[in-house]
Amino acid sequence: MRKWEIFKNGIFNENPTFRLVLGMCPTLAVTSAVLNGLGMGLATTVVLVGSNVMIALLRQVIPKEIRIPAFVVIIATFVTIIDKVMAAGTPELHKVLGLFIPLIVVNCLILARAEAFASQNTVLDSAIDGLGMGLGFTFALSILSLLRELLGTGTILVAKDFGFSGIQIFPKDKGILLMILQPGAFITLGLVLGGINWWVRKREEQKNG
Amino acid sequence: MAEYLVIIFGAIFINNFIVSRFLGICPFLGVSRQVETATGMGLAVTFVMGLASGITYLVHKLLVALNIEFLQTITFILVIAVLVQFVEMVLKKSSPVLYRALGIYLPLITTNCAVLGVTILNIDAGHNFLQSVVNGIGGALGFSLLIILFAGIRENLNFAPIPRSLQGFPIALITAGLISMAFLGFTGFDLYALFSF
Amino acid sequence: MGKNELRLVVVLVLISMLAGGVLAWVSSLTEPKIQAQAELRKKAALQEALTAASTFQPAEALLENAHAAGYGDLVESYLGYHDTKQVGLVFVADVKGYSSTIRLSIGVSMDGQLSGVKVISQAETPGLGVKITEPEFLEQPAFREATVDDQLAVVKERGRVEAVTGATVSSRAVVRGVNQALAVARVFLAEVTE
Repeated sequence: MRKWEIFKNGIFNENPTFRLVLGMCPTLAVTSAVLNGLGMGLATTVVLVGSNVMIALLRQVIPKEIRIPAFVVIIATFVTIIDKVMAAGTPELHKVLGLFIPLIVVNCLILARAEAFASQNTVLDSAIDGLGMGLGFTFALSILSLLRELLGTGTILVAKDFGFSGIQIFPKDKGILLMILQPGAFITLGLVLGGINWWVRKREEQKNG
Repeated sequence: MAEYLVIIFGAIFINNFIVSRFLGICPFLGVSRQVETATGMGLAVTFVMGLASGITYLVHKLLVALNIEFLQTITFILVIAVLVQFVEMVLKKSSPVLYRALGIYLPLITTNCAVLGVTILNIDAGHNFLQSVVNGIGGALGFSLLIILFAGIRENLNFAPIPRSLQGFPIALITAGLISMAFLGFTGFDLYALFSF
Repeated sequence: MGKNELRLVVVLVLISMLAGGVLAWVSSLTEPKIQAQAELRKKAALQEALTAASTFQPAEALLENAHAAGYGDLVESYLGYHDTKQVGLVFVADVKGYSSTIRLSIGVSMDGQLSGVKVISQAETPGLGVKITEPEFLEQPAFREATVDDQLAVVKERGRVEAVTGATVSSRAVVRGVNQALAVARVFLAEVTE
């Protein structure tokens, strides 16, 4: 039962993007299309699960004084692995995400989970926490990119690497170009965060009164 | 000379780290409540980004020479972490005034993705040593300009009647979106033509 | 150095060595594939500009001539062959677009016809400049019917090339690259047929 709570925590109560507001750079940068958001989210999930497991395994071995540099080395290793694997397997996606794949290293979310969870919990719990947090991040990125891709281009789920040209919902020339440009990233995230705040507050008010 | 002006102005206005490249968003949102702290953060970032660009250029040369470029990410982030520690130590000993001004921001910079970002961008763009340093400083100046501008706006936002759900991060993000819209006007500006005198 | 500090250093060095080892192994597995991908993509870009060819040979001399004649945007040039028969030329050009450098491959067949233009890479404005990569722009009659004797221009400059709406700068950049390739090809073809 506790395991399920840990898993759910990352997706809802402590959703990294919507509740903790961590890892904003990739959230804003890669959410112009669903495939990009999804790819980034899953890449981050793999790194998060990997580093959480590794750090939980080594938590008795790593002295407290050097834990941060040790964590960074472990995280950077997983990031480099996923970087190479994506370059070989999904070159188009790798090109689009570009700079933001190596930058997973400095996604505060990963170091925060290593420090706050994996260094104090068992391997299995840490893996579940990594998976929950990672999927919560992926979920948030997918929602944002779905909104932006749909409103910006009228088509969703364009996936070049997999030879899929997407589902057209409305004609391209009716799209709001701004949504897939930089301002669209900030404004969409701002409005979605505001909407979630409103919803959470309303639910709490109902509970209390 | 013109070449370096193009790099600096490009990094500040056209490819601004925050509103155009989305690098360094965490400190941009987190340390921008007051103009004073924003200025301190900007200074500290400029200092570290300039240094990091130079050092990682040399480190990259070493990695290429040894044919172990796959260690790029891992070495760069370690170099930045060590550099930040080192700068903190040196400042503490040599310039207590500067240390008091920048000290509290320095530990935050290691995980500022603008720093790691600029070092990787330098390598990808094939910049030489001086170009890398100039690009690092230019990028950081762009970051500083934005974070200070933004802090000024946020100080005033405190007096505005904002719907409760939008207070805090949401309104900050929407404001940033409007600034970014203004900066879109700089794309396509032909800097080479401007500086070819 | 105290015993504890020694332990710290040893642990950190061990972790780093382990990380380095793992990465060396992963890199040795993926690197050949990444290389192959890059080459495949490169060849595909050349082939799309000159579909008749199946193999490509770099032509350094041609590029030097181009640079000497002031066509500085051309960065690579190739002779295209089908079996052993030469079927055309392909140029790779880097032209300055609106917000990025646009890399193009431009093919010219032996009869002097522009055989194809493809965008290899670009970072133009999404929704506007990006449209230069689409067939509606690259396969319009003005390009399809162009020969080495033509000097192309966008409609705004009394030419025939229909620029992408809202992206004249990007469109002009492509035209500039194509013109340079055509001019160099013209000199080359004139020498060959003599």
